[in-house]
Amino acid sequence: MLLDAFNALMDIWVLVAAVSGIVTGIIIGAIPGLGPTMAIALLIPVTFTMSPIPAITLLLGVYQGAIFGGSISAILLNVPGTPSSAATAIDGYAMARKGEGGRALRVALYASVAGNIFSCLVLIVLAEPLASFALNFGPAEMAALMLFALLVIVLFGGGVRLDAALMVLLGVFASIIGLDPIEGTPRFTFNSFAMENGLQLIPVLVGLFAMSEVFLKLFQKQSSIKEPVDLPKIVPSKVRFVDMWRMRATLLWSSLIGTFVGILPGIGSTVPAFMSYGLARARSKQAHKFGQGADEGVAAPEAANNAVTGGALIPTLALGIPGDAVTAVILGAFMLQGLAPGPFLFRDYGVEVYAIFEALILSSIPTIIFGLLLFKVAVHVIRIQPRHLFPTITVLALLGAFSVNNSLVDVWVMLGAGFVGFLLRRADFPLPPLLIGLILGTPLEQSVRQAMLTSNGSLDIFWNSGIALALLGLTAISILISLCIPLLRKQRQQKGSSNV
Amino acid sequence: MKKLGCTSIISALVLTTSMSAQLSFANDYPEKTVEVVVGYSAGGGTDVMARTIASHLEAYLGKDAAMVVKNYPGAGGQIGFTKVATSDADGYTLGTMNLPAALALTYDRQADYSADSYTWLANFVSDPNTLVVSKKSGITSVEELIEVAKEKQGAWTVGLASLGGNDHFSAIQFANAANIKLTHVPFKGAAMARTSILGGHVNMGTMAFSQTVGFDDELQVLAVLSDKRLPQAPNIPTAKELGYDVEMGSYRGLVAPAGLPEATLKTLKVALDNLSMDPDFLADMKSRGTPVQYRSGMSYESLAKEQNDIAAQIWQETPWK
Repeated sequence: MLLDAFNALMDIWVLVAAVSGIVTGIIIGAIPGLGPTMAIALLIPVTFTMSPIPAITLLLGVYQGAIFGGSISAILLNVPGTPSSAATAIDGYAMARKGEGGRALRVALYASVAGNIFSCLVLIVLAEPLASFALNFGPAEMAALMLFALLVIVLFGGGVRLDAALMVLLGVFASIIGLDPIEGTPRFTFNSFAMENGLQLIPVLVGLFAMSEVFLKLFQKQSSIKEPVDLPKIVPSKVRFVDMWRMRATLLWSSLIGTFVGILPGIGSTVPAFMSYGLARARSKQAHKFGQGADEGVAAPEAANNAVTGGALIPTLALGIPGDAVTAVILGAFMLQGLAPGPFLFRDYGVEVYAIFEALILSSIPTIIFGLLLFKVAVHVIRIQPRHLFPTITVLALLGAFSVNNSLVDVWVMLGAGFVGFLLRRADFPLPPLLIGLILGTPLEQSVRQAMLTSNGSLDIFWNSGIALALLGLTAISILISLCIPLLRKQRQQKGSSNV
Repeated sequence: MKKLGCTSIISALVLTTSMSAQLSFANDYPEKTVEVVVGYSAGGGTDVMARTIASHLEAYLGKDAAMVVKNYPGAGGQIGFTKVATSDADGYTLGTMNLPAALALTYDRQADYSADSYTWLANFVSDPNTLVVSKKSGITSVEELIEVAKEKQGAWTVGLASLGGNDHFSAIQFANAANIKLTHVPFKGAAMARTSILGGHVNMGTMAFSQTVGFDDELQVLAVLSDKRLPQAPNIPTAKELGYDVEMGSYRGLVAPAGLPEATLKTLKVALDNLSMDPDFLADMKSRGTPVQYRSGMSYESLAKEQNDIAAQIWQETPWK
């Protein structure tokens, strides 16, 4: 199977897709303010007419490239392209100020690749057994899992919990639009049959993450557009394999954190990046060097935020529950190509799925090559101010939204989502929980109602299933933990101050 | 110049008669790209059929004919079906047709088309529904199934791919014929419904036969809801021979807007008839898991009328929405 999949990859179009994806990703990611989600959102329509393997290789390439690209602007400018590279900026920018920007970028690149490869290996080992376990996931278990996922985003997604909770609820509310999943009653469609399928993911994604950026900058005061800053000089430097090998424990821990946090739907890559940064500092014998430009301070978050991809693909492929915008899009691409996730995905489409896994690992090679090549270019790329790209982004967004279903309604949905996204971002609300709410809203409703139908209206179905009970237990424990952490912290602080 | 004016006057006169319209079409069609409208996303079963037909049919339409497949997904296919029905009947817009789904839509909502809106060209695929349970359930015959379902008194669940689809109709018709009560649990797509049956989360299914292929170890197909036993599964009885008069399937074919000019229709018909005998095309369709069962012209139209009546009857007796 692994060999068949490898053969399927030996196609010039797969290579072209991987390389163009990675290069585009690095460039988009390197431009301050533009991130991986936007890169993916803009490129999905391109993949519609492609066959599954190149299409998904392209999207994954864009994603990986953009995450690495984000670290370029984080390191050289202290402007993280994505929240997930904010942790990288701490030590990366410190190194860049010392003239070690080149070294920081190389460490980031190699750590990204290490994290990516590690999580792919975990994916290959775990995905198939977990997928066959998925047969035990009926409506009740699915409902419990999705409830858990939504709660985890609110509790541990970072940021203010009330904000996240509001955004999740807004997303779930938006998912009500369309035909209800059990009876087929139209809800909030205003008699338009184009709205019967509800808000389509891709127009909403493009609107929230690409168009809102344009609106945001459009309404920004002129004075806030900064003059190009002076870039720190890049002194030629080398990172030898020994240097990376010295950090093997850090890389391993960070990749583990990234992968397993990635499996939990919805958290994203910011939390694991900061978690592993914290862990690396705690484990280090030279903790004082952190923040002053420590190699490990760059390597840890980069390994973690790249490892998330592999982890997030596990629930996506096994259960059809995407963990974030990127996996939601990949899930959409799978469905579009007729590959239905679930226990039989690996049996029926094993070659395609393993080819995609292998593509994910092998794309490390072009990532390194083009990452190294694009360092010098990147210095110019990060000088590009996003406002110069907004006309292009606007056109791509309009085109992308239209091309999903050849429907003008989707264009309005995209513009509407862009405007709502703009308002929410102006008010500092986080958008990812909104998107997860929208993605999981309908399946959650469907699962709960299916469970009630099969149990004849009795809630016992949730208590009688071990899996559902365990998941509900986990949900309760998570709530308890999140309530206890601030209390414990307060106590510790009080103790600390009383000792002094 | 004079000659040209003369010709144009004459041809204008002649064009008013249908006779010459036929002649001119017979000579010209197709002189530009023929568009095939698919009401579902690229990559799905209907889309694959449309693309397979388009790629093989070009050769039979001759004269460097070009066909292009365009997807207009949404609203359960309604957007695509409407687009075909309201297009110019010039033979340059064809569309895929899914029975009974397309006509069922005209009952549960406002639709801008009906069975009379189309020229019924040819049906290519027919996929009968089945009565199916998980092997783990231990049920081996329709009689046992009915017995257990009666015991459960309405708590017997059937997993459906969607509402108002052929498996939904099958469940309603079977419940009526066997005088039992079923609880419908709709899923998102046939694969999800099948997984739930295999996992024991719902009790039975009425999925199309093609959906059960490859699950011989896990699924027990109790009956097919077709007229005759299937050549690929001769051991499975039909519901009819067991005494339950239920016939349902999903039929995928090609239609054009109603009122197609005679000559264009003839050109298309000849091309389609030739296509239906092309061994390459047949092998191509078979390799995609949908062997061709060709019904064209009147035969297809009567199938459509029949399916329309069934949908109307079910909607009247047990509206699904």
